[in-house]
Amino acid sequence: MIMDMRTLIPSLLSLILLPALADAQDRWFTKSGRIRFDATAKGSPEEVVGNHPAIVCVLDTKTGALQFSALVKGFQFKAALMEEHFNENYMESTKFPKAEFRGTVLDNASVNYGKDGTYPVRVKGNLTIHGVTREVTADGQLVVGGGKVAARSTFKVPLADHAVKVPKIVADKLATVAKVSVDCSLEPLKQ
Amino acid sequence: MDRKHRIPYLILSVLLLAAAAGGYAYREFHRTKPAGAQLKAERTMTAAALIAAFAKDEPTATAAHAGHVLAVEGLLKETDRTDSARPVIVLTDGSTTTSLRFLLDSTFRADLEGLVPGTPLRMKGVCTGFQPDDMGLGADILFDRSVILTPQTAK
Repeated sequence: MIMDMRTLIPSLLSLILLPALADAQDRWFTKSGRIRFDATAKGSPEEVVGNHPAIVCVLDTKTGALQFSALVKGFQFKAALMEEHFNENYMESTKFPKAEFRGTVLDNASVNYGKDGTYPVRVKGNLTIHGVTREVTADGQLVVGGGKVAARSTFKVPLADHAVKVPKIVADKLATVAKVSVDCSLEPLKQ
Repeated sequence: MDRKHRIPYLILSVLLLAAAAGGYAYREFHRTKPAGAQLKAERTMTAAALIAAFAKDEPTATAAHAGHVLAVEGLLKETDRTDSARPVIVLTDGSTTTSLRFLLDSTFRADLEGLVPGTPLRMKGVCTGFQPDDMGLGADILFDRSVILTPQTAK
């Protein structure tokens, strides 16, 4: 009987604790994700590239819900003047301080988060930039390995879709469609 | 001076003005951001006061602080070295769940091993704004191009 209790108690504890641990492992996050924004016009020698080293990203592996958030003032450009124009003239970052994406990994069921590997996925959701929300669909990758999940995607954002006006004087330097690359290394969220 | 003699002076003046404008435009175009250590703090605050300002009225606090260089005193919560090249120093006021995240300047090198959580720390950086807790991760006030002021741990 004592032996039975010794095996019964850990089993009961496992039954109680495992769902809780599984819940905790459902959500993965980072506060140090990266976004690269490239709006260099074709043929222009002047690079219009901004990098953001501190985006927040949360992925719920159970539901496939995916969310990104970035403070616009956190984008960094090589040239100070370009960064000022990006914030003041184009993104109006004081008026619209945040850019965010709220969506879902459409083929979440095909991703085995328990097995290391690279899984191509399609993500759909609402992208809010410059106060304008648009539905977007993008291809990406979820890379499971080393106790982390890397979320990567590159997609195109037409500036006009988000009411970002490009003055004629810089039209030859600035692309009308920006290429956006996201790279987040997600860790399990400890509850 | 007659009209004939005035023309060369006018041309010279126009050329000088054009050269000055061109020089200014060139300098502005190639202007780079100063390193975090060279930035002068516009105001000094405690972590508690800054957190309280954003909690009370986020738009007003964003307008007042975002884009400005602040020196902030708080307690070290942790160091986040997810990005080994640019670690993040996280300060707290010790009572709320809101944190202050200072992304270190790329030129700043510090001995982070010597930093003990719970100890007072004074940081300086450019405030980039407030990230509300809409993902269940806790709210953050973010800083970029940051440096540690005290204790002096810069290598």
